[in-house]
Amino acid sequence: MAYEPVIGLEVHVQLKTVSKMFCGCATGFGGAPNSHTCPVCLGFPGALPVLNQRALTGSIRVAVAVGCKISDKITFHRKNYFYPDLPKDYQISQYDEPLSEHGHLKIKISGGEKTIRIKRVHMEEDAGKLIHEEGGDSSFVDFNRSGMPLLEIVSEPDINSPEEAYRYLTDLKLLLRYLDVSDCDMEKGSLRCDANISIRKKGETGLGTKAEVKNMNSFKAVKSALEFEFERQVKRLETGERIVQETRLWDPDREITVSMRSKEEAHDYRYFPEPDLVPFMLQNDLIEMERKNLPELPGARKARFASAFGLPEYDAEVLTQEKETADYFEECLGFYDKPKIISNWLMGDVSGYLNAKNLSVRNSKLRPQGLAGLLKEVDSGKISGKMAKDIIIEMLDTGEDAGVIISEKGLAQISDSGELDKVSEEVIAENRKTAEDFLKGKDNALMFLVGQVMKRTKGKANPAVVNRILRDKLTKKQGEEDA
Amino acid sequence: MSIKEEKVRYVARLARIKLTDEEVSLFSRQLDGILGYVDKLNQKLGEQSRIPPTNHPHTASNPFRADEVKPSLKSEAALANAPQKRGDFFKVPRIIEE
Amino acid sequence: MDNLYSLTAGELLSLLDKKSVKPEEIIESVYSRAQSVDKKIKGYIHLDKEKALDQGKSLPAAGRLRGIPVAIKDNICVEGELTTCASKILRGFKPPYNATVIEKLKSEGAIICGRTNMDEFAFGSSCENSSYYPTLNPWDTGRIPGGSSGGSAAVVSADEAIMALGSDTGGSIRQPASLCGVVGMKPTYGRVSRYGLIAFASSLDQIGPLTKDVKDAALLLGVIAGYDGKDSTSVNIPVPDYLGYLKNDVKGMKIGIPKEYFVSGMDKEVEGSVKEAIALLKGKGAQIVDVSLPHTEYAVAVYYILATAEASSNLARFDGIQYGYRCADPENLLDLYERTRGEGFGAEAKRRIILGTYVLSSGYYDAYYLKAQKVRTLIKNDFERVFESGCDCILTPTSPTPAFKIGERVLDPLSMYLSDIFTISVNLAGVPGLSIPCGFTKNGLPIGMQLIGNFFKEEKLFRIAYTYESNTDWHKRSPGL
Repeated sequence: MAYEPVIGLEVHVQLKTVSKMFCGCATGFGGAPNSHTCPVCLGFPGALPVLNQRALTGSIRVAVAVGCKISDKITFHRKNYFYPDLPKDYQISQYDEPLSEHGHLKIKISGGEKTIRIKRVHMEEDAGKLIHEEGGDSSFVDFNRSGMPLLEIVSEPDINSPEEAYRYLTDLKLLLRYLDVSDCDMEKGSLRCDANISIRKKGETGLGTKAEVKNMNSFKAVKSALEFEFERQVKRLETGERIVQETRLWDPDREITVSMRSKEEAHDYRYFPEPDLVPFMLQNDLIEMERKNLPELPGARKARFASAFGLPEYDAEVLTQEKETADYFEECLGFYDKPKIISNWLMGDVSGYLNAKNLSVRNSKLRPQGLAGLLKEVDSGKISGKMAKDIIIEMLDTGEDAGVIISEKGLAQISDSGELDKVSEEVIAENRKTAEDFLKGKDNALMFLVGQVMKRTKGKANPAVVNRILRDKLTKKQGEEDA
Repeated sequence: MSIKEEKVRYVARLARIKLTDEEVSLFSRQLDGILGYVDKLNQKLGEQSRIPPTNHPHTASNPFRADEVKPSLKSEAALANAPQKRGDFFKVPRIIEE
Repeated sequence: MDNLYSLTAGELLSLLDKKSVKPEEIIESVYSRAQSVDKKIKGYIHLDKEKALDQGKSLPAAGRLRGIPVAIKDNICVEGELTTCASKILRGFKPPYNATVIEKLKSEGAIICGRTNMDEFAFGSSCENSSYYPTLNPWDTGRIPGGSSGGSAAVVSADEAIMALGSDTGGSIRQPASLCGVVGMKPTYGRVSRYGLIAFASSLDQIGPLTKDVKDAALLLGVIAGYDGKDSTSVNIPVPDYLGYLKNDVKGMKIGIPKEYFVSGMDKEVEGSVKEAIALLKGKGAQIVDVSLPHTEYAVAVYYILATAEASSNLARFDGIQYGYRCADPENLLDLYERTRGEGFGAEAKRRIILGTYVLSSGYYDAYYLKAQKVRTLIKNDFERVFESGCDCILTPTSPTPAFKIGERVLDPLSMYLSDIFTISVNLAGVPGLSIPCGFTKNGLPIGMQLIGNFFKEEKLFRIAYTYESNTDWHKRSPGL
């Protein structure tokens, strides 16, 4: 019997703001424990929350981009539960009047596109961090993360394979980075993902009992955990066992999910409207402003790169995978108008270098103007393409202009016909046999002669010029001899 | 609706308050009286399905804060009132789960 | 000068203006008074004369309260000073910040002169729920001063402070003001910043003045009122010059008398005094009209659902981790939470947290909390209708009875809750309410009446109260201490 998984993902991303969601503490990472805290995010008595406007506008931007319906009135609710990382012992979150509902995200799957419905996008505050002492009898709390602004994006259970889940996460991350609302760095915890998974026989439409899977710290881990969990559930059903509704933790070392047996009573979060915050009435202009300011989204940009710049689909896809690469590409175009050549360089030598050094193009020392300058030197014949490959590494290392590197290292091609004339004469004189072969119609023979000239000039000769000179000389010689 | 002792114990656990047996029985009786009073009025008032709930007496207009960093407390000040701490951390009994 | 402590802030400010007294003389006078009478009243929890004198040495050059000692209820945060809500669970707590009202007082030169006793976390109407000791009524030390701001009312009444701040969630300023014979006001919700007020019920709490006369109340409210960017529920409406409205003139003002507040079985002396007050105002040219607030009878029920629900969540943070009391040798996290809170909270706090948790718990929310919020709408609509009909104020008794005896209602929470029957609706609606002395029982206990105004119309209440006060001398009486 064939089963299929039914998966819904809950993604939390940390919004990119400079201050926390409800207070002015800095959001930056690092700093001593509890040094980015204040009475508000420490839950001191009497302290009150005030919403960070940018957390709201960033959230609206995301909601608009995934086509959610945004509520006119949004309220915050308190989710009440006791835990040491939760300073007020309630979390300010959203419940029955969330920011937005009913959106969708189109993801690429083999053989086309699939639409995953988004159930809701809502805001909430993050908790602090617990550190457990190895072997000791204490745990420790650091509230620097407490009150960081989070956006929760909940999908409908429309995902039907671990691969689709992976693709959903990749495309969602791409979108969020385009929107410039989050770094989406899973390692730093600025993107977290929990998954709900159940299984059913193929062709059925009902929903089975689901398990919630947590503790996955990369997209790959999400995929592996879902693969494991799918097989586990299939095995249970096939052996006549029931699926239990429970929370399971992914153990990355053993590559299995483990039941998180909860000693606690069933959760009773006692949601009620946060009385320290008043409802927000979202005027249409606020939403429209975000809609208008929406940047070009990845899909649209890819299409434009292909159509407007005549790039192959593959190039357009690669260049738009990161917003900053796409921006960089377009900046280069401002200085140099051959898109495919820029694309080749960015996807080839430049990206090879960046990957090896684990850098992004913006963090490298190569400026768009610099890259354009280098390409112009190649076009002018001053340097060869091969030389340019060495020069670009130097440029990425030092940020120096191509021109400077060329002159400092004496790398300029010899295009001066006077000098090349002389060398070419010598080469022809020393390789009479080959010269004759050329004249008899063997084109390859000319390549050999060009190579000899290059060798004598230590590679600095402009091969195109050498080619022309040799050809001229040989045909002239033939003419002379014929005459 | 009346509030039984069992319910008082459940709610006390939710609220993380240890109650003595005497307190459980006293609160159960007292809360029963209070809720009885509430219920009586509720019944008299009947269904109010079309009335909007009031969270606040009145609504201020979208009180935002600009996204600006303000000085945080020094960690000594943040930790000054802590019943137990170690270094710059608040200290709690070891948490076993997870 | 003798007996500076017995003067009002208004009187002291004019003496200070004329340089006839120095701020330190006022502080000395108030402290020596407190030293001699607080043994009997127990209105203060913390009193530090040296700190007060220090404040007196570095006063701003000018300020509307320059040199005036103001007592502060123990639930308003003062940076670096013990702030405990009269609870064991906050013993030793020193906030690292000032409440906005404290910043405002300091910038106007007021002297923070001590912390006043209260019912723990403002849960109560008698000051008997303090974890320290009960405060006693200066007019009869066998009786309660009212609550929860009983300490603030008692110290102003006993001339142990020139003025005081309290907080009012269901009557906690007005009821003790009435029972101690002083003026007390709960401003419109949102008029005064709650930043730094340790919350009881966030959608009901307001800080307000307790003073010896109406002028001082207007003066003090003028200082503490105003929008605060740190409190999302504070409202950005300019603060009028309240003192400018103090005129002995109510001609043409329309005062509504709600029939629901004058019911059979109410205390005859209270009823008599309030009716005389109505007659006086009528004689001064006010138009007296009968009005109705039909949902009044539901107010106590609605209040005890909403207020305890909010409180159960607001008080969750007292868990023994970041600050405050922690039980000894917890076995594990759950034990730490349960014993810290079981040992740290008093009986009334536990009762209210249990009730509030219950009404929010799964399966009960709609029947209690949501229902109460809907009835809150009806109660608010009642007031709006009366003010839309042209009333400038609604006049009622503040408390159904004068001060009751210590211990009388401790064992019956419901009867205690019903002491707030006339004040609670005002918090639910969010409108301002002022209590002013309007007589004494034949046993010499103060009686107060309540003036209720429209949203952000505190100045009208001050005007009517000032007129009444100018034509009576109840406020000039002092308890014989």
